[in-house]
Amino acid sequence: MVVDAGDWSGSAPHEDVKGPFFMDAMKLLGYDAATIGEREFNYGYKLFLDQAAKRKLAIVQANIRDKASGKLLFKPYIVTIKMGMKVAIAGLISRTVPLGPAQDSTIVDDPLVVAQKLIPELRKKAQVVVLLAHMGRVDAEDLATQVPGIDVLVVGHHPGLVLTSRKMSNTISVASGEQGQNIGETYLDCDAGKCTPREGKVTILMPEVGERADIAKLAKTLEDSVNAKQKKSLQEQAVASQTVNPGQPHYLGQESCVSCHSPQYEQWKTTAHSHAFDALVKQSKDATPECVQCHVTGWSKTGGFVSQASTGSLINVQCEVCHGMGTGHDMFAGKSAAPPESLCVSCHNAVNDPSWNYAAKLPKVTH
Amino acid sequence: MNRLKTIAMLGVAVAAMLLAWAHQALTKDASKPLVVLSTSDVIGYTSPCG
Repeated sequence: MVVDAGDWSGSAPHEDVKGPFFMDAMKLLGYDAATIGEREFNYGYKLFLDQAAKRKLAIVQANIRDKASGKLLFKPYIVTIKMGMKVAIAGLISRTVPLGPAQDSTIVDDPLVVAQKLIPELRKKAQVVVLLAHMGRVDAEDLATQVPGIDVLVVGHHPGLVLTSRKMSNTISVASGEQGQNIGETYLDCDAGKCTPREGKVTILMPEVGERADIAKLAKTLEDSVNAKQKKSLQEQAVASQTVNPGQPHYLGQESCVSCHSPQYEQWKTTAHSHAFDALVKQSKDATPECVQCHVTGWSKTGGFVSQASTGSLINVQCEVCHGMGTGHDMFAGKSAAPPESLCVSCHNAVNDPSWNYAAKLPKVTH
Repeated sequence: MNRLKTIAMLGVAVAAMLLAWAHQALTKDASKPLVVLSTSDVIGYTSPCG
């Protein structure tokens, strides 16, 4: 069985399509149930309820009520049958999680009080109880230690990544990280109508795991749409963000460097840094912030890259990324020009470039 | 006497085989665990940049 502990919706204006996409994808992937996080309300309380109602994804949530009606927004739990065993899946959220646009329209009941009543009821109805706790790991595990009867605790809301799941008495707590990069796996031994949690682990979804073609196609469509929306938005913002006050340190672009440093420029042209932006254009990721920041010069900084249309001279990883803003030339001129590893790993990190090695790569960019 | 011994040994061997088979059959379901796969906080997901 497959479950999710919430926070699948976007937050930036151009990411509003992510929430509906993930609900559709979870349905296609055969998720049995999901609970919600605060991010699901980012684009409006009623909008999310409408979007969720149109989809048949089983959303379980036991402690958020509509303020006007006093009723729970979703089913508090479901009971499904797996391998001949009845499995109850319930969802809870912490009261400290701010619900944003839904704050004034909802009441959040104390999850501990709700769990103390709900979990014993579920134990009577099912042989396995799974709690999807959008509460952060500390609060979720605190609750599980105070409320016996939870077999599997799936933690949401910045859960952290715990590769070997923690076993607390008879509960296994799963914290599987973020961004869909990992999947939690909890094993229960079932015999003679009884299941006992055995162990849990988190598997990192590296490329060798493979992907489903239909979901990959759907994801590509989503990403292209997010990229196109962001590109339009960046063009609109460009003029305002490019205003630089006189005397304020800012980026100048490689043209300012070339006249005195042409041998270094020629060497740079042989490196991947010199065509880093092309790689994004080919993948339709040239306005996707998670990607652009490492493929341009001065992303989100004064006088830095905003969009190809407005600041096209700052595409690629130019001189100023490693050496500093051109207006600060007098401060760094004459000093060791080798970029420190700490600068490189802001992009060449374990997620983006797991096999990257500073000592091996530095000679390739040294000039 | 030898024939009796042979029959007895064969009987023990067959009984052992039957026991092993019965144990395997009885524990087959129990050895297959119920697996709960889980995700959370998938927000921020993006496929590799290229």
